[in-house]
Amino acid sequence: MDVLIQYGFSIEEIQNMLDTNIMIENVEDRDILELIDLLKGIGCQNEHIQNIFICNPFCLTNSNLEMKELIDQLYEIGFDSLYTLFDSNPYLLNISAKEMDLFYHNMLQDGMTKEYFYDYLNYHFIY
Amino acid sequence: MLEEFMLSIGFDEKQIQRIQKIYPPRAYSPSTLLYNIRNLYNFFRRNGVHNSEFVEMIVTIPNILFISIENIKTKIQELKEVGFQRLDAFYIVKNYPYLLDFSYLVLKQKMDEFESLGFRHDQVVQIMSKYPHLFREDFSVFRKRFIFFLEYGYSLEETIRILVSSPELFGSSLDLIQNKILDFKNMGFQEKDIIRITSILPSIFFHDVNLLHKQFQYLLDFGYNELDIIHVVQKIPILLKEDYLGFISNHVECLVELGFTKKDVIFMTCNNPYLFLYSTDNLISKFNAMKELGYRDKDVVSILKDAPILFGYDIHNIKKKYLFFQSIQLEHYLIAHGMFFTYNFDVIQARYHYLSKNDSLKNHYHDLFLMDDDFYKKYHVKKRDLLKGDS
Repeated sequence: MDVLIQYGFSIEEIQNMLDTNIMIENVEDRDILELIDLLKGIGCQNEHIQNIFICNPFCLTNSNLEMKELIDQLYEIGFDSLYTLFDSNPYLLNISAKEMDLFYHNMLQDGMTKEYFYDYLNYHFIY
Repeated sequence: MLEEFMLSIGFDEKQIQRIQKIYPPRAYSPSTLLYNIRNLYNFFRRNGVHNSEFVEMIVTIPNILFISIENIKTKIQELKEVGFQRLDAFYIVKNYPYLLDFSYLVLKQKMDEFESLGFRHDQVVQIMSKYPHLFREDFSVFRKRFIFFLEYGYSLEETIRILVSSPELFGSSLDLIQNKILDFKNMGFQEKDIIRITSILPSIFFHDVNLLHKQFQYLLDFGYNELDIIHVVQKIPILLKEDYLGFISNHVECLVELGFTKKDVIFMTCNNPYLFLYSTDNLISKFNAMKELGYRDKDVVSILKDAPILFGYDIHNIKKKYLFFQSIQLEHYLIAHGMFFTYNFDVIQARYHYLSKNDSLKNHYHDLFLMDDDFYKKYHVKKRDLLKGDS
């Protein structure tokens, strides 16, 4: 977890993250770095990454591959500026690409427009 | 000498006597035994096996003392050949020393049997590393467990995920699995919920159901209804881990002490079940940090009730937004609209600059918080372009 300290997280913040998700103890620094790169790749700045990790420490123990799939899925649905989406609702990173796809198609089937879905995800908190 | 050495590396007297009494060690002189045990000890220590693990291994199978190091090296090599990392191979040998008696063909066959069920090779390696006892099990037994999950309604992917994550289930009785499913059903969970929960948290099959019942009852007494509880658990199955489950009542009481009504607590936790996963210290410190911004207790209650996700936010994120809203005299407006604190700061700022530039801000502050589509319909500018500064 040295990488979190190097990244600017305080001991108190790391402790809070550990209290929430004890499994972080077992995460390798290289996996955290990979996740940081993934988030930077969608436009996240340091402050967004800090908010995402602090709010949703579970993303640190999620599979990076699955989160990458989710990101690809969201792009495919038509989202842009994904960093604003994850900064507002960091828990979204715990949803699988498959669940997201199902959710999206269910909304469309219920008669919602794509634009409504974008706003729904951006401004209503789904967990 | 032998006894002294064994004591020095962690055997107790009873263990030493037991080893000396049973066959074959009793057929060898103490000096031979000392020679063998020293060699073996040095070999395993060099390969990362701790004293206590070494002692346990010898106590489990004293015969190891009479297997040559060359043979052990061969077995490690064989494990590597079927896909295990060197460290995993030692881990398996120390946890399941019986494996030293298995031929290469048996090891390979067991691995192939798992792959024939649909597991990838790396998943089989993961399973066997976690639970090497499966090398001993009969294929028909774990095939039966595998088929049980498929027949219950789990997909192949879910079945594989469960068994890779908790390979002990291969060795558990079907009764244990069925009873746990029945417990969930009795609590009101539907089959699809049970499949989702156990797929995400397979270790739930081994959890103590009494603790679960106790917390369920606590929440019912507090005012939650059965559907609320199922909703919360279904959303975040990890909540059922004993590490978290035991603290649910503390969280609920903590929120009440902060000033939320019971109704608020139920509303907030159903909206954001992650609240149960933050420590109570964290909840209190976030509440106090909001107060330090200048809000009164009841203001903070109102803001957090509207946006319980803020309990999880980085306080610097909230503070930055607060200072911005304060600079445009909107900080009090946000008391009744806590959700606006969750909007991405870059978006708010970009809209602010856009509206100021176009002289549209006066009396239209609410437009800062429009949904993207509504903002576009009103101002014909997309969020993407606003953020790029192209507008």
